[in-house]
Amino acid sequence: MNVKVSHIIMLLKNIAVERGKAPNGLLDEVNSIFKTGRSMPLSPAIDKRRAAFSLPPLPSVDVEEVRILMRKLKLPFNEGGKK
Amino acid sequence: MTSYSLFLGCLIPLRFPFLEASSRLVLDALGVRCEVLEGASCCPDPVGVQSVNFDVWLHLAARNLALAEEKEMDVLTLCSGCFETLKTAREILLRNPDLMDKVNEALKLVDREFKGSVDVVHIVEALYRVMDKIKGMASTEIDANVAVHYGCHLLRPSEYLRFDDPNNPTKMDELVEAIGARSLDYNYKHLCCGAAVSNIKRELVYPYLKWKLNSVARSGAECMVVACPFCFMQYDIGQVELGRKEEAFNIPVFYYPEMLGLALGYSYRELGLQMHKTNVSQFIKKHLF
Repeated sequence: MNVKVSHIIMLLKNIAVERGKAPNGLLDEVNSIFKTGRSMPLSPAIDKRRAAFSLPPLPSVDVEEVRILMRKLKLPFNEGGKK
Repeated sequence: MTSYSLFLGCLIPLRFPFLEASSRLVLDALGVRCEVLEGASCCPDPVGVQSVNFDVWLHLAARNLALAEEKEMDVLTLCSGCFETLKTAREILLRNPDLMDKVNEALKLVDREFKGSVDVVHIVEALYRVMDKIKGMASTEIDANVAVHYGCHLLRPSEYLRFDDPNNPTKMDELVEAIGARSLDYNYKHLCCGAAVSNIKRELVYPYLKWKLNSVARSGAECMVVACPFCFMQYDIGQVELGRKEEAFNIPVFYYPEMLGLALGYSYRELGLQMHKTNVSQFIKKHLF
């Protein structure tokens, strides 16, 4: 079968999430990706901090593409809200 | 000249831009050309997002890879988590044609297609490939004992990542020795930094940090060198947290491109080393002046 134990554990975790059992930190991370495309929010302060190191502003994420894919996969969240 | 699509990820550009700055400086100095991959989302996180929904993780990774394929350049990541996600997703899709077809059906919704035509490389690998150039260009010898920390996501799952021998890796040790430092063996060298647990319950991480840091201190190492911003965060900020709670350590932590930047002659300020929580300046005074 060549099925790895780690893959089975990961699928069990996915089932637990579908049943509403998941740490808030993980749900918040996925919600952030749905809302912004990134796992943590971008703020004007960050661009200012980047500029201090002569770094350009961060390129934007095409977040609509991210949302289309997440919706297609029946993400267990409503539009950015928890299940 | 080698060219890559630079995949910035989330943690480095949003929280540790000085690590991005040092990476860009050393890559540029060594003639490794990079163009930021525009439009990319979070990689996504190989632990958190995969735990929530494997399909979401795989599809978003495939979309990021498809963006890089449109640029026809291999992907270079600054973060080991991004490396694991993108490289693993690529390998899973290439080894499972039915799954690849299913993912590509979904990607049609956003006018993308994953073909598997570009590879994924971690910055440490990119630097390892130009190690001879590093040896030739390093103007400042880092005469110090160093504890290298590989972290988990640079090495495993090894059947997909194939970065180095997962049980006895040497590439980072060779890279620190290429700039004059001595890489020490120490207990718990391959212990996880605990970042993945951090997002769930921070307190669970502290015993791991203490084991690791005690072992590094006992080894005689004067600093730690890491390859990943999550490991950097754990050991740099984690030492401050431990100091407040129970046990104080004072072990400077460097992301490898920072230490390489010092060897190439960049200054403390250019590399943003003042942003570290651990005291880096004493190390620099002792070893570079």
